[in-house]
Amino acid sequence: MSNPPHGVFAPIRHWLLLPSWLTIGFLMVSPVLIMLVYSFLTKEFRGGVIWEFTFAAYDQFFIDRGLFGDEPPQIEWTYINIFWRSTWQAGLATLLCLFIGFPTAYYIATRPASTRNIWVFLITIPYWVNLLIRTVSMKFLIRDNGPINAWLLQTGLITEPISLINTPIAVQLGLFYSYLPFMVLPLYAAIERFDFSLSEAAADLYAHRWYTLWHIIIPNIKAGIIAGCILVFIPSLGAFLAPDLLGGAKNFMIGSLIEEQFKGTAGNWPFGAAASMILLTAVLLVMMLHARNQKIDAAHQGH
Amino acid sequence: MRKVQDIRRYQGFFSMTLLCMLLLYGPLIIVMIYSFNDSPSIIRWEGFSLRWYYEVFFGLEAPKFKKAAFNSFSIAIMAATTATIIAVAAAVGMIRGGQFRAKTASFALLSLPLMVPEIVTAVATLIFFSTIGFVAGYATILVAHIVFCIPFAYLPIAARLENISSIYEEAAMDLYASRAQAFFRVLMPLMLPGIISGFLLAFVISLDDFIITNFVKGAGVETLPTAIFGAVKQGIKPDIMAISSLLLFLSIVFVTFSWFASRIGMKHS
Amino acid sequence: MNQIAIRISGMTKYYGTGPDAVRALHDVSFEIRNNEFFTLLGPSGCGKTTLLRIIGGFEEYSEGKLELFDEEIQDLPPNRRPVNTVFQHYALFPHLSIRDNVGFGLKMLGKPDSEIHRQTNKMLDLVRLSEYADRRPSQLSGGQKQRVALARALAPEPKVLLLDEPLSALDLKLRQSMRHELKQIREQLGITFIFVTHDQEEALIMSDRIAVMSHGSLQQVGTPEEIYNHPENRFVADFVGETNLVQGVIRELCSDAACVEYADQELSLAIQNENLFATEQQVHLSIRPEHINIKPMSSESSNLPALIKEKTFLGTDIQFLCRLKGGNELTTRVQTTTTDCATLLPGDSVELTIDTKKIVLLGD
Repeated sequence: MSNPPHGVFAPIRHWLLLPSWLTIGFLMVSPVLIMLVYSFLTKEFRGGVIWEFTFAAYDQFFIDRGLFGDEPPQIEWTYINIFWRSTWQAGLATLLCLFIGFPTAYYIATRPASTRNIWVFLITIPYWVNLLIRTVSMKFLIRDNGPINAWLLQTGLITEPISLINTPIAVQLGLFYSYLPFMVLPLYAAIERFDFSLSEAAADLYAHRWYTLWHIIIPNIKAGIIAGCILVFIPSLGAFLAPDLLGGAKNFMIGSLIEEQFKGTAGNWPFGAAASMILLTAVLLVMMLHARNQKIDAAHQGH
Repeated sequence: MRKVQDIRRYQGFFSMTLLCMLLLYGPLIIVMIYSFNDSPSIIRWEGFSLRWYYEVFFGLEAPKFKKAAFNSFSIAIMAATTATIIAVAAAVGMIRGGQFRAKTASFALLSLPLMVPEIVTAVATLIFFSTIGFVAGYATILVAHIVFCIPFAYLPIAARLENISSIYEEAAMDLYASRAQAFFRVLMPLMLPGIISGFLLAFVISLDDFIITNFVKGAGVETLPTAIFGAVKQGIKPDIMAISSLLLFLSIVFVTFSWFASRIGMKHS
Repeated sequence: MNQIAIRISGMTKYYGTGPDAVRALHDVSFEIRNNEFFTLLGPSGCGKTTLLRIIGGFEEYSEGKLELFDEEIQDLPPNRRPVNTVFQHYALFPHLSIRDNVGFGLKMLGKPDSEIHRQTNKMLDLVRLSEYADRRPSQLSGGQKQRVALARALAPEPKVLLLDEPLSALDLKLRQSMRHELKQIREQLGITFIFVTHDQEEALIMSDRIAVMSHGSLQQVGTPEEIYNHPENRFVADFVGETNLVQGVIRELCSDAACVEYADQELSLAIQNENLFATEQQVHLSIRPEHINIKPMSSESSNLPALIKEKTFLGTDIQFLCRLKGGNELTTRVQTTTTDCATLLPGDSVELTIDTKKIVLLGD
């Protein structure tokens, strides 16, 4: 005899999950699959596609055949460079976030319970607050005639305004500023669970406190560090607002490249779909690597 | 008495925390301050004034902003409501469903909108609507928002439900409640703080979304973020700072409510 | 007339399927009479709570039959069974007042408000909590919550009340007074109680009959006296009350008695069924500590000589752990008022007398 599910709601669990399956399946999974198909179609010049199968989009991304397509194929560096720049910017933003975020998360996690909640709340607010407005406010702040330059000029520290807008530094600043809370919260969650009697044990056994930080605390909260890094790296990689508003045309990242295929004048849908697929693949690779590491870790701990 | 040094303390971490807070809040606070600046040039401070807020509500561009605000709020309410209902059902199915084969896949599906980069979701949704011949506009924004709101509503609701013992619904059924009665009279009231928290987060996320909206909106349909983005492209004007400050303020209010809702009754259970 | 309230036959349950399946219940069959205080007793994980949840309708099972007053109810969901449960951790609805908690079942049954009100008041009176009607569960103490849970389960007037370790979360004093109160309420209302506990003392005090369970199997069903005085196997003898379980060999066997050799002594014991035993068979003897008498060694003794190894003061009793000549050890307990024992100390030589009529012979 079969063993049917028990519990009050278990017998109808499939009905309960059906709306989410349908909504996300129909409006998220199938669009990504259609996008995959589009990346192999021929472009229509006014936007949209012609239903003819071709590798043209991927060819355009990776291979340079000259202006008229008759030269011997070489590697096309333009888009690979944009990808490389995005990866580099995202990686640097991740490191910066970790550098500021770790001490912050650590400090918050070691506060007494009453004040700790206030600190966490202060981190939570920017986590949720409008990214567009945050990026705009950063742009306002660092403009050539913005408050920072005005203040520096007034105090006489500089004689010429520092021009940051439309430089890679501005993009970096924007990314770092956008995703800093994404680093602090998972780090905090991990450190809060850390058993500080281990610190005491280390100190009891004559360890210096920085040695303890490096060799006792950090190995134990590795999972939280990795989670925070992923949460910063992935959205940074596909970021659109920071490079667009702070970087300008010279500091394109993948996000801007994709956007331009659909919104801008270039209007190449299959190419945009192909670039999106490449970005998605990169992101899923990172996630799968992470999931695999977690599984290995779990296996080592004998779970 | 000599004070024992806290073994957990590290020199400099407090300064880093202050720096972090300054970085997070500095730009927001400065924008808020400058939105009250009486100068049209926004470069120099020329005294306190509410003129840019007046401009937002009654100025030349006020109708445009009012329309965008109406779109933003109506979409946020509908998208968050729909997403919350779907998320509540999904949470009960996942957390109270026991072990079943589709569980891992269902969880992956529910968190998918969080994992896929926003720009990719935006492109995919645009292509999808174009393929099935949906005319871009208000409806496409609403549908797209429902999808990415689901995981944001789901997470606090599921977290809450995990902390509610299944014994309550069993007790209800033991006392002759039907499954629906057990849900609406016992489980839902207990889940309510989580549901409110999830709804508010979904609402804020919908209200704030720019990238996906920018892709799937049709010509002429604007939400507050797309209107602000369009205006910023022309240069940061003081009325934009005023409207940004308003939106900022609203987000903070909703996040605060959500934060407190998710904490109600957690100490007791 | 003694009607059967619950009949369980061939109840078997597996968790999981295939070779990894864990057996939670194995072919359990017994009957519970109407108006009986029936206890399911066993260590944690023995299947007693699973069985109770099957009766309540919260748990599926693999094989077997469940009848309530001669009616098969295995396919009815919990809300269609005239059976109510007092849950282990009360499960009072935290968002409802005490009154609404107690009236919940009646409301779900669609009873008119006036009847709900009357019955709720009656139940709150019964558990002496009328003045707390408008409070929330979080404002009550553990014992009060327990009584609300009882009133709530009794309010719809179930045919059978299930109690899942209801007293385990209370402290000792409260537990003792609740035992008394539960027994009184049952006698007052005259409905069948099925009580689950791992506390053998509680089971002995409260029950009309007890079913002892272990590892998903039923070990013995009987009155507290039968269970205590005539355990049918080693598990029951050991789990219910304290006992000395020792090994002996049957030397002689006749229709109603057996002569068993233990510690160089020949003990003549009464047996029920000679077919269960054979001569030269290894058997176990269950000897309760209170059935062994201890006194200082006297010269002309023909009893068991022993040395006191440990002495433990237990309040009304003193317990001695004694070492026999062959190396066997026996625990004996005497009342503190037995003056000549109070002076005995570890290392003293003593002689033990076993009340052979009370020894239970257990074949394996």
